Amino acid sequence: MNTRIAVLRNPHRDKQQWLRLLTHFILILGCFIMVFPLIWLVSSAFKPGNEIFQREFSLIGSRLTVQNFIDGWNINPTYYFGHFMMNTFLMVGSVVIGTIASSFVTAFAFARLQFKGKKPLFAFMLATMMLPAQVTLIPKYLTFTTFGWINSYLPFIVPAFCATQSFHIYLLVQFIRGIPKELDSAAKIDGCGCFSIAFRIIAPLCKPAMFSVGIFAFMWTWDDYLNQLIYISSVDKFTVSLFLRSLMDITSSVAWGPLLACSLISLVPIIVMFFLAQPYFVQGIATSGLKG
Amino acid sequence: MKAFRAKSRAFEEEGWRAYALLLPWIAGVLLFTLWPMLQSLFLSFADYRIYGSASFIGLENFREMFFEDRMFKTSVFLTFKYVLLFVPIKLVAALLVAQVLNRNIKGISLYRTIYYLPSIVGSSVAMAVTWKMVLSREGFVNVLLGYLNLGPIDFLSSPLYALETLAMMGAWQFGSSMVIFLAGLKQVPQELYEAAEVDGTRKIRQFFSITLPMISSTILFNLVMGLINAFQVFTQIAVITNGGPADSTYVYMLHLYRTAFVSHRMGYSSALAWVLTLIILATTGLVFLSSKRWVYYEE
Amino acid sequence: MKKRGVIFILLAMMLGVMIGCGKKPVESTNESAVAREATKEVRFMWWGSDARHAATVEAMKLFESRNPKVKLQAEYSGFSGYFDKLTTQLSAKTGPDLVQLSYTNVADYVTFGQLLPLDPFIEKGLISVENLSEATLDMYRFDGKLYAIPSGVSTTLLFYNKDMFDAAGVAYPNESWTWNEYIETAKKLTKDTNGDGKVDIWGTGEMVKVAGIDMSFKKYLYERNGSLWSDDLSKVAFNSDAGIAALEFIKSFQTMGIIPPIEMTAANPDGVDDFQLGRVAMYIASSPNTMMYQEAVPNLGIERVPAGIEKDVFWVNPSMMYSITKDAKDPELTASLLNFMVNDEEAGSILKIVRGTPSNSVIRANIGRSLSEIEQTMLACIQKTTSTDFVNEPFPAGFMEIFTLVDREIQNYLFGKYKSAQETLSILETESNKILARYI
Repeated sequence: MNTRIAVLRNPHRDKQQWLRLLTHFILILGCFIMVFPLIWLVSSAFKPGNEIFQREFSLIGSRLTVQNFIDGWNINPTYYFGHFMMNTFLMVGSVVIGTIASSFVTAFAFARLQFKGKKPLFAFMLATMMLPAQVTLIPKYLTFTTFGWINSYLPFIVPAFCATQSFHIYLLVQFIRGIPKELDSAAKIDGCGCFSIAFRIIAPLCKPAMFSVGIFAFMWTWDDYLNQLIYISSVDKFTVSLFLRSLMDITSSVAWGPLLACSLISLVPIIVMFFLAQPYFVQGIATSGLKG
Repeated sequence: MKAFRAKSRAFEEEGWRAYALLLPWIAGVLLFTLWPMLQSLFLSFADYRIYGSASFIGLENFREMFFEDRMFKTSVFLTFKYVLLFVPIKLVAALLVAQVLNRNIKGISLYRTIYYLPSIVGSSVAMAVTWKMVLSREGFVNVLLGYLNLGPIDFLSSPLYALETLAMMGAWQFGSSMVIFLAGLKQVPQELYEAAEVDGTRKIRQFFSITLPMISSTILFNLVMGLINAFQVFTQIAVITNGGPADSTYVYMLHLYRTAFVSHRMGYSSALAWVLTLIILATTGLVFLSSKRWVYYEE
Repeated sequence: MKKRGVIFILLAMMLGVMIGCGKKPVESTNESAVAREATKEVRFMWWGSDARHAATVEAMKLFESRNPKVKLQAEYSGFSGYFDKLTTQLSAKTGPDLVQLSYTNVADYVTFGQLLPLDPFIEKGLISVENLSEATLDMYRFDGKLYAIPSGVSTTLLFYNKDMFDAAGVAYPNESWTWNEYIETAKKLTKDTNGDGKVDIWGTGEMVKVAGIDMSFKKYLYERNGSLWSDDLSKVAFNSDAGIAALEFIKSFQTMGIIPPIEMTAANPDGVDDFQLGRVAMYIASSPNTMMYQEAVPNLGIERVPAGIEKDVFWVNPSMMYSITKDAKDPELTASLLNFMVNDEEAGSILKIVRGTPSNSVIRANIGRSLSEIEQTMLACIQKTTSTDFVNEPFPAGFMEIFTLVDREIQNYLFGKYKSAQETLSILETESNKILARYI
């Protein structure tokens, strides 16, 4: 490294630094666009109730207050807000577990095993991804009525254990395909049977993809407002989405402060979950979203 | 001979194990997919008012749909408009940001997280409410515009802007596509870029000649998923504008929902559902066909 | 990395435990089968906001305390999606026992045989209709049978913001106002109050979202001697000169600039209107809104709406209805709950005006004392509201759909989607008749 080269390199480095700053600036601007509604939500939740609409442009109202949160927690005559959070966790948690379990088992079969009818079944599985959910809405409702599962979480949980969402199966299939087959062969030589390979070798390696599946299932179930609306009717079983919507009524007054506060709280689990699972999550999507 | 028999025995043995593993899925398919689909198919040729029993009326539903239902044409048109706005913007934004983030800059995981955040919270009722208030006349965005002396824009309450605004709100959640693009970009072999650098190719040319072709399978994936989602858009629109203002955001799924739950015409809405399915299949089919021309698979 | 894995496993275990302790369907049906022998269950479904929910749940607890062997199941939600859910439940034969309906859509449910006639319970003395308005009950008789009982009464009233009137130096509205005076006053109140060159307060507002057909349009129509339906309720009759004039009357507010721009009003969040937001000085709305206007507007005034043009038109309509569905497991017990909600004095003092002014005249008189001053004014206006020569038209089956259709199309008209009132009404006539035809 002599000085001549060092001198030659400098202008290039300046330009690079400048570009880097610009990049960061644009990215940060983009970030702002990404999160400003959330920022607004947070700021409004801590404002006194009657200032939310009058002065929508101020970040902090006349004072910071947690009154909205207190009101929101107590607003229902029979249950604390926490009850609805717990309900939702129960339901969504079961669905997540069921989804991961059933999707893995199905994906393993498609990705690693040979059997008659594999190709048409696989194609069929992919095709069901394109089915608009509304097509099966009413017939499913009638089916669940016959089973007597109305006003329970079963219409969500049982289908989850039956891998009804092809997206998750597909994600896992792609991921498993990326796992070297030599591991399977090595295990076979050691005397492992098919099921053993599945659960003791492949499954642990699928953790990233499983986390992705889990997060997706969590999000989609948590936000599945329409189905929650038609299958859950008694207040003690309400989920957070149903409860939030119940705070808004066309013909009487709306408690905006508590509504926003509760909305904010309801977003926290999803956000926290995402932050925790981040590394696995991205890894999982990455490996599976690729190969056409 | 022996090898052949050994193979076929192994084949058969794997067969039952596979089906054992597939049992939950098969049960689910029969109960929750196939049977409802058949029911729905039958209903689409029937008149079923949810209370009584269904009566077979042949192609009457479809005749009404194409010749008499004025809101059907509107909803198809608006849905396509939404799709043509939402999908390109989402893909381009996702790709651009992914490209920028791919340069190993500091804080990439933080950026990635923040850009992904909208995808997580975007479909909730909480966000719908928030957006509605943020984009209102006294809302944050219009206040900002006011500082720049630009008049208030009725983002969600004017027929001129509502659908476009909703498409942008959907595209706002591009984080999921972005992450997939990021993964795809990482897979592009560095040697290709290095060779191009040596040749003196400009960065932009590199993007079009190297990057795009190499991630074309990822583009296809995001494109197809984006299309499928766009055609089925419902919750956000139903909660925020419910088809208004002046029917300017009345997309297909709203029409279907209204027919099923407001007019209680299960037969007709089943017919609508099937027509939508066909539209989606046709569109994605076309995309797949065209993909033979522009998608490059590394074999 | 390992830590995170451990956290996840713990979480999963926790969830597993929670699921294990959650109710499983088999166990609970056994439980309730045993329970059913000892207690009877009644499901009551209604919509509303927290005030109504709190009061109703309290009233239900009172009922339970008087009937130890009865357990009441409360199913309440917001308005949005309520009827979708109800219809879906009824179609699957899992409807509630006692249900709250809108005063507009009882016919819809009767046509499909979803409700039980209430006459047998009245004859047995389980439900009393002594203190209820006979004229109102008549509206809900189909084929001579009564299918619903009003939970309360309401009427349209003129609400106004006294502070804005004072600031503009304009006299308050009074009982004998005409529409012309209403319009002139609105003009005087429309102004730019913060000096930025743009109008920010308007004289009045128009309800362009919910209940357009049943409040403003209907009143203007009736005032001009129009009617909504044909005599046999099979076709609409509002595509007439009276209808056009009524619709143009609404449009004229927009042309005169005395109501806020339609984009502004349409942008209001659900449940928040221009009056609450302090954008308009006057507002014609339904009387139950008094509760929320009290909170939003510090100095609230209430008056009766202008009487009419060719004829005086006032009416009192039920706010909500109670009905017993065909899925009721114990109709007689449900009937006594219905009676309790409508006629019981103690319940009345708990419920007060959460479902409008009580339809039972005795309770109505009694709670007067516990209301705020403005609520008493509202009550007084309702008491004075009768038009002896005016008969309210009943609601045909299919009204629910027509209701939302008309709302939407009037909004479209104000947005300029249709060029004339005639065009709007012609489209409405075609579509509404199609709807009615399906219910016959």
